[in-house]
Amino acid sequence: MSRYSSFTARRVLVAALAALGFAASAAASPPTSPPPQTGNDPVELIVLLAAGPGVPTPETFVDDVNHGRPGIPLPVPAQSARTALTFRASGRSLALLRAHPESAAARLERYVVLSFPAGANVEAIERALERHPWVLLVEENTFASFSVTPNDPKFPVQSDPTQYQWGSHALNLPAAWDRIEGHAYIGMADTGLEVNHPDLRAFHLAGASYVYDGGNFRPQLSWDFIHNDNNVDEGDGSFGGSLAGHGTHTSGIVAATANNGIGVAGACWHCSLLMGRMSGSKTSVANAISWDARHGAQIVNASLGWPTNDPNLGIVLTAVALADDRDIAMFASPGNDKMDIEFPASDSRVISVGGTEFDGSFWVEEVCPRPGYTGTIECGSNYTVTPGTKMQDLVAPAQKVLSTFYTGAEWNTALGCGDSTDPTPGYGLCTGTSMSAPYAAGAAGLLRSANPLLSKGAIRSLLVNYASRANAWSPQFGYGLPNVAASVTAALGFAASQSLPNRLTPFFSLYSSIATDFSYTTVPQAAAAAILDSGSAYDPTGPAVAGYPKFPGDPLCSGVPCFPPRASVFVFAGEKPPFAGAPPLVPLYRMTFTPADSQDVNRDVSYATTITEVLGFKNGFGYDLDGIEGYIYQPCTPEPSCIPAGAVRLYRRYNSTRLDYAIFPESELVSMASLGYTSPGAFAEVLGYAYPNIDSDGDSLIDGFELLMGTNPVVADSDGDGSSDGAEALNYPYCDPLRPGCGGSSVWVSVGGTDANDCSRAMPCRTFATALAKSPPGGEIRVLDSGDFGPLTINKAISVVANGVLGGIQAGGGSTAITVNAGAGDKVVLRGLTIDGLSAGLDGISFVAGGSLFVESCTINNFSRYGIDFVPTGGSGALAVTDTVLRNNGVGATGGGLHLLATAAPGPVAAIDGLRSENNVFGLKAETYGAVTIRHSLAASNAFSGFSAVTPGGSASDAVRMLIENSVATHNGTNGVVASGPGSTVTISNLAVTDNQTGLITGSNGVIVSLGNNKVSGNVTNGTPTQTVPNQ
Amino acid sequence: MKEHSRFAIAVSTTGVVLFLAASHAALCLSARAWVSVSGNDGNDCSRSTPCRTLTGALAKTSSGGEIDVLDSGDFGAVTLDRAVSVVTPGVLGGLQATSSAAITVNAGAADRIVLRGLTIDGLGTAQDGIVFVAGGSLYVENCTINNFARYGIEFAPTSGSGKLFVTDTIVRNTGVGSIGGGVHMISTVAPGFIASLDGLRTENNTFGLKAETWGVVTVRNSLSANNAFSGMTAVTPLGTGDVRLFVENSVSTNNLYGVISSGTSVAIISNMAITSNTTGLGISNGGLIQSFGNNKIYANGTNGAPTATVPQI
Repeated sequence: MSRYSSFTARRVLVAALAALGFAASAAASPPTSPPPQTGNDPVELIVLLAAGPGVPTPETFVDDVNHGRPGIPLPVPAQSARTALTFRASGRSLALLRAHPESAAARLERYVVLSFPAGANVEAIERALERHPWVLLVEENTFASFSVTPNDPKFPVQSDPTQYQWGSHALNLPAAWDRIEGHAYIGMADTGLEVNHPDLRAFHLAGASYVYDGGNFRPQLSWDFIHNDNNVDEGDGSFGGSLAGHGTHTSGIVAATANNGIGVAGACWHCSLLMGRMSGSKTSVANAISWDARHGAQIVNASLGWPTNDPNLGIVLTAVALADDRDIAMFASPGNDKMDIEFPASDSRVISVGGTEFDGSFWVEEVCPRPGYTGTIECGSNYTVTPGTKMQDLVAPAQKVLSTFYTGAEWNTALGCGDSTDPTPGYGLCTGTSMSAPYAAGAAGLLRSANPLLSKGAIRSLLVNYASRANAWSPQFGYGLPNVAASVTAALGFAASQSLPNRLTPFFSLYSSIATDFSYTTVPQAAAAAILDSGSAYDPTGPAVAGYPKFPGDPLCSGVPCFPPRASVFVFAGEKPPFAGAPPLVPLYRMTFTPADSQDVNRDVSYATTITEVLGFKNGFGYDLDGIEGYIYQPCTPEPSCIPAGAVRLYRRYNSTRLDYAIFPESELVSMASLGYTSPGAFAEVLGYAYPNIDSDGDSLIDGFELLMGTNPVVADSDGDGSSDGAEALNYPYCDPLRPGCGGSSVWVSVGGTDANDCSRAMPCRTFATALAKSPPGGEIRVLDSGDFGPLTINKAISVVANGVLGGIQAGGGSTAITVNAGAGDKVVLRGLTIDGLSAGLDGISFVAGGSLFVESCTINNFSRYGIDFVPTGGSGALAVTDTVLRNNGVGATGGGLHLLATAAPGPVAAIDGLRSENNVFGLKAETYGAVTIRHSLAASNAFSGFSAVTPGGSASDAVRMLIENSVATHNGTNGVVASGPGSTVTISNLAVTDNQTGLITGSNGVIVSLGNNKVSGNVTNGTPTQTVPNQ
Repeated sequence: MKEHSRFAIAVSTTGVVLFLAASHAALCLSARAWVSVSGNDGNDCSRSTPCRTLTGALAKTSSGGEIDVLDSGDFGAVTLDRAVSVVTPGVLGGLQATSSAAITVNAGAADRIVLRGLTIDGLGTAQDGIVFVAGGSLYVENCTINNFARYGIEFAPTSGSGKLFVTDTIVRNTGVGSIGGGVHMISTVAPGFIASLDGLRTENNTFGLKAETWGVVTVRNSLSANNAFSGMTAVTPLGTGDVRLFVENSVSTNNLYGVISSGTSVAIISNMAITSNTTGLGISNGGLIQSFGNNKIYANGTNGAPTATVPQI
């Protein structure tokens, strides 16, 4: 079937016409009418080339096609070919890609695009390509639809447009800005924007000089993948096919200039906008995402989508994989059809943001036409219509969202989206999930500003865990509307029960011998891009960063990071005073000089702390402003007494030979001078004060951060809870480094969870082991739904509880399902677990050390040694077993059901109630030392004994006491009840002993005491108690 | 067309992985299979793509593995031919059958079969709830078995050996007229079955529990009530055999007979309450009933008397 009659193509048609304002045409088009490009435009096929011997490189392949030497015979010759990626890997990254040919980055390099004349038989060409051994994948370069409501004259339009940014209030952004204003790098895969919009531009020219406007659009970090140039503004005022109204609107939602007295405020006030201008074709979207990844974006927003039934999304999937590899938080719009979530929002690596209306209800338009239908039908935000498809993550404002608009342009008047919808030129409303995704992306910008080291999984957790429906996921709302202020507060962390006003974060230092340039960034993604993608091939330099061993995307060399992060100083992540009376903080503006010849030799990255300096770099030397990377203390007087404790001077010095500014702490003055960094250059020599990368106690938290947080810089675990200060303060979910544990909150496991989650109920983990690691001591691991959650070794007090669902552990291959090796006072509860050894696991539960172990309502089956092996190393420990079945444990003469052993007095204390020990090697055995009380229990069909107390060492000091009440020992292969060895005493009461080889047996001075009420009959040999004591 | 292109990817770039994956699928069954009402037997029975029936899941479960019930529903009759655990936690793991048996166990001599948490119903027409023909050991835990035309549990190992464990289980309304009964254990050849019944309630069946010809049964904490014929029976109808039935701390009430021992059988009773039966203790054909002198036999039409009293020790 031709792609061109597919649903995708119909959507493309309507989207394209809608964009052009031809609403009536679209509505009149029957669903089967072909899109215009079939008649006029060339047909493009995207081909993924294999990597391997005999396969030409993409460059050779493209060159051959363009010179009439196609390596693959085709029924219709290609008119032209090009590599799909506009910007190819270079420098070091080439070698890395060759070494990892199946990495997403390497695969992206191998995509090529073939153009064929309009009307060519696409199917025949595809078949020919697919049969060729060089070709891994063929797909058509079809177009995405944008997540803005469809264009139709019947689409309801409110006559009274909203006059303010209601969505920003709904997300609690004002309170979030009280904590941090935000300065992350956010990549937009969108339609370009009005680059001179006064609420988006950073500078404007006044005469010969630039004037600073404070805006966040970064032209040097943007690219137009439609025309392959650096102009992402195609003059949308004429709407000549350019759709920049959409991109202008989404960009303003993310980061319109705030606090400048005009227009609107973006969600993230100082977030840098990287615009990858795309047409909606797969190659252009993949290029935009790839561009963002390779220019250090921490977040990517894609307000667009394809139906997930389009099987040909390979190149976009690969670009998503690359972004995922770089740990970029990706946001996308699910679509506007009230249908299942579209790609890329449907991808598990992408956060799908549905839409809400003013009142918080789910965004639905009651009457709208939809392509493929006659008449009208409801439409609105897409969501998880079909159970089992992508679960909606979040919702954000979608209805009549006010933002910047392309001045004088209309996206579509029928759907109330355009400059005319707001009285001020350059501002307008739009409706759709295209608006909700950038709201969430902007919120994520605040979170990545608060702690740039947090993983994308943590970013998602932070948004989800504080959202309006965090504990009640629904198909429409997902986890609900984010409470960004709460998320930001959580991202900043806490100590001594107080929220931290600010954090320190490493100022990663890099050096390129190609560019002879020292470069610095607080952004791991930017560091990764500089190391892996830049032609300058930067290397980390300086002291290692404890607790942050690897940049995202580092391919690993021999199993360890190739380029471990390094930093000489730490700077503030946010702008708020870290403590009362602190010297003012100033921003670190990152300024980059990019040589015109694109040879990286003269590249320079430097920093400014004032707008005067920024303009000096820009007007004087041609540097571009990349963005704010963090904050340091402003220079104060009188030095040194005014310098905050632990902070040091941060120098900026110039090397006139290398044409390079370097930033370093005072302690490196001598070593940097020896490298030629002796001149203050054109600017002040001391930027301010930051904290040196010194960690006296080795807990991964630098001394300066410990001073600010109040933890002890020379004690690794300030609160003595067994978790170091760094482990508690650096890894989300954070723990309080000044309070033992994490406050007793429960952690959850679910089959739908992932171990990257924080194990909250909304964001459950997948395995018991990870949940345990993330649980505070004394906490509870709860099983949310039936599943297998893997073995665990318990090293602290914990409860593991499955109630009404299956909490399964399977442990084969000689492993032990649960090992308890905890502190002397630790209490461990295991309740409701189904534990199976598959006839290959060693022990069901092995207790090595701990205070007490409670095993309740569990089944333990099929282990090759013991069902429960309770052998406290120190000789003491308490065991309680309630309503538990042990079956089929042990092989031959090895192992058994429940084994208690202590080689030192006093031995374990055990209370056994409702135990069924069936068909094991033995039922229950207590050895050498210990006291065991058993009631209401059954030991049946065990190969050897039912209940036994033995002191095999034969020492006179040994002592095992066992009392059995109201229980049964039956069908056991040797003995019902055994007392063997000196000091072993079994007291039996109301015990039925039948059908054993021998009912009661004593040996080697063991003693069985009867209360005279036992029923011993039907054994081959019944046996007798040593003595009888009367009931009283 | 696109499947073809994906296949080409797998073969030419990740051939080793494909090979391993194919081998895995062909040779390895899952140690944990799932059934769900939203499942499909064409699935692989994983947690995310569960199967629909126990039969479908069994086909994808390795020997010694586990079939778990994900959500409440009816999962169909099944014949278990290998060691397996069927586990239902907190949801209704239902098997309704309208003919023959809901669960048939016909497995290897050493195979262990666990049935936990199931709700088994014969709708008055199916013959047996659980039929054990061959296997090593059968565990019936926390199940209810209801409304079968013949037996609730028919434990009849043809080899003459097999172990039965019943824990916390109810068998009701099984048998029609004089046919069938609650839990029937029979072996026609030595050495006979070995059964441990703990927390068994047999109510309103043709009989409660019956051990026949060759076998040893230990019962504790159990109840047989309102059964048309006997509450608990040990019998050797062939004139040969050896049945021992040991009952501890249990009740037999409102049956025609409370406890029967017939032929070369011995019933040993301790701490039993036997009341409101037409006959409390029934003895025929030389059967023996031994008492520990601690039983409460009262208010039956005819109380009857044990043949011997054994002292407690």
